[in-house]
Amino acid sequence: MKKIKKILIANRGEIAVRVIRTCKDLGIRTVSVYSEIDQNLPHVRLADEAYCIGRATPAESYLNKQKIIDIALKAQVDAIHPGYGFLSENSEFSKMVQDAGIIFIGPPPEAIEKMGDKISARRLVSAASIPVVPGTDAPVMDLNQAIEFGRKYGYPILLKAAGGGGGKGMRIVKMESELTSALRSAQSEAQTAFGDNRIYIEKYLENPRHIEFQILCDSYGNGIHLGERECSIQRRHQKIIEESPSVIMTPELRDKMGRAAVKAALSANYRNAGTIEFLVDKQSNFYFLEMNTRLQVEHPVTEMVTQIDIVKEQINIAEGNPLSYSQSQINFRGHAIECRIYAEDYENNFLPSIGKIKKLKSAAGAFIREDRGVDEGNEISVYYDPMISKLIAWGETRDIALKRMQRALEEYKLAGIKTNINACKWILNHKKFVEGDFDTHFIENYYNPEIIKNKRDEIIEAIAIISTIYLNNQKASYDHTIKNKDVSKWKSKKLEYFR
Amino acid sequence: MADYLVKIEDNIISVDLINTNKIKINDKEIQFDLKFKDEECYLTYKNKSFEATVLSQSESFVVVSINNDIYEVEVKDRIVQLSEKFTKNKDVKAKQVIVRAPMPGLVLKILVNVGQKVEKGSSLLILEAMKMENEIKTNNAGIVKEILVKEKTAVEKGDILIVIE
Repeated sequence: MKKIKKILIANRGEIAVRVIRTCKDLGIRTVSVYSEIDQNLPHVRLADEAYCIGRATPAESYLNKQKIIDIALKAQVDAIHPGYGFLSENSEFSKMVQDAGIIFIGPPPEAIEKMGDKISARRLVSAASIPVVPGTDAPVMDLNQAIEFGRKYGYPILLKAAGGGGGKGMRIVKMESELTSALRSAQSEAQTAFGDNRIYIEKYLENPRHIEFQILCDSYGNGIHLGERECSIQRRHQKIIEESPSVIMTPELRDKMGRAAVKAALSANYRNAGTIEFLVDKQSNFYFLEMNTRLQVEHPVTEMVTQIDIVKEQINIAEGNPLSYSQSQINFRGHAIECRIYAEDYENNFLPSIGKIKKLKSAAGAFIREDRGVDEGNEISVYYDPMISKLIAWGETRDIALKRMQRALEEYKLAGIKTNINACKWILNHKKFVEGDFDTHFIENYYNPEIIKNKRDEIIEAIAIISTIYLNNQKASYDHTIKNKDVSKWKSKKLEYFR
Repeated sequence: MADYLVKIEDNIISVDLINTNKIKINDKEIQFDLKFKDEECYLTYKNKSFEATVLSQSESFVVVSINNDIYEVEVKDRIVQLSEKFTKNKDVKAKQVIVRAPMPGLVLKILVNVGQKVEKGSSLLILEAMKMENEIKTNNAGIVKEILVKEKTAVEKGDILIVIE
């Protein structure tokens, strides 16, 4: 058991800020790393020490394992927190950290390997008699294998990258004729994203919900779950709105799924915080989808309903202490919802948008939390994930939480880049969402960007007033300059006439 | 002729400036209060308040961010309105639609050929950016007139990719 007194956060943006905050609460000193273009970000300001680790390209900075470990040694930290993304699910990094005599705040390399590789994870949990979606338990080496799978289980089928998630290298194939090109593009995308082009195939469940369980495991074989998160609202296979509890959850189902989640994690000798993702069908049958061996983006909704600081627990486990809670001590209170604010164009297929944040006015008020890693004046660049902020609202009931989130989104003002704020507002107002009647196809079934953009007369009139007066003022001051310079009579007269 | 003719999305609005607190919109007089702090604007009218940011501006275009949405606004003063009137009849050239790169990235695959007919929503090419493969689609039907990029080449944001006529 070793008391952790100083932590290096091997990440950037909001999650680095998130981890630094808990460290400060615990009196732990913090070290940030940053790439050249991130020098002006909040995570650099908030840490006790900050080190530049290279150029903007992730491979030259946040993915540079050796460099990060060198800095950790130089700064004499006790532990490294990897956040999510980047090196968080990289078993080699976890091993290198361990070998350098530094604590990795996360699972041991063996557990990352077992669970990180989706194919071996499927094998492992099905051996522990947890249901999995029918699929290939080895990577697909050629087209014929894929064709055979499709014929056996029927279409649609889902191609997934073995090496990582986030919708990268993922393709839904609706018929055999699409298979050749889908397999090729999935492989090339997976190769670029993860340096691993192995693809496996799953039967594609129609209309499933995506429900995941937060688990915590210590070094003594104890595991608990902190309930579920409903993550069915997704676009491009990436979550945008998450909530806890799920409207379909009953205490019995939660108990059953929670036990399965803990069992799945323990089957890999897992340690620290992790997430077990399930697909749930209309009959409440659940299937293991995958495990995320790290802190999850949407962990705050769990923190809000359990009042447990998950990062604090991660540090506690990493110090070698037993879990601070037993399962019976975990209570769920009220309802929490999170909206991820992304720099993206909701009118154009949610394509990432980049640029400088010219204005940022956040939301506040009772029961609103914001986790954000950028400020006004910062840039959203092409190099990293375009998430700007996570807004979280809590309420005694789902209805109250939803209303508070609406209120927060209405207060939020961001100018300079396109964002999905108004798309989030639209989702929160949608009848099906409010009723809780949705699945992972919500966006493709109901989303229509044309009805989101506000085209009410008063907005259009307001824009007309602002635009004309702004341009008119600009011209007036221009005229003024010209007049003072005493240019030809003709020119100033002309300008005068048209003013 | 109005002082200004303003085009916002599908709306065309005529604006006449009366004084600093009064304006005519489509011939209806409206009282308003508008204050600027550089690019920030604070407007009240009809007992509603609005907050906007002018993102960019040129001779007769303004890009305004209001309520977290971005609007491209064309503002035609009298000169522009007049000159358009005179050239209108001569303007027989077919309308061109220029498809630009929405972000910097790598052109992975071009899905259309010159001369090909495309429908609204057709995929034109695949642009890889932020580790994702993004399909670039067209909002307008027409014929592909020109393709200005090659596969496997990098493009900057705003580069012209394809011209549709």
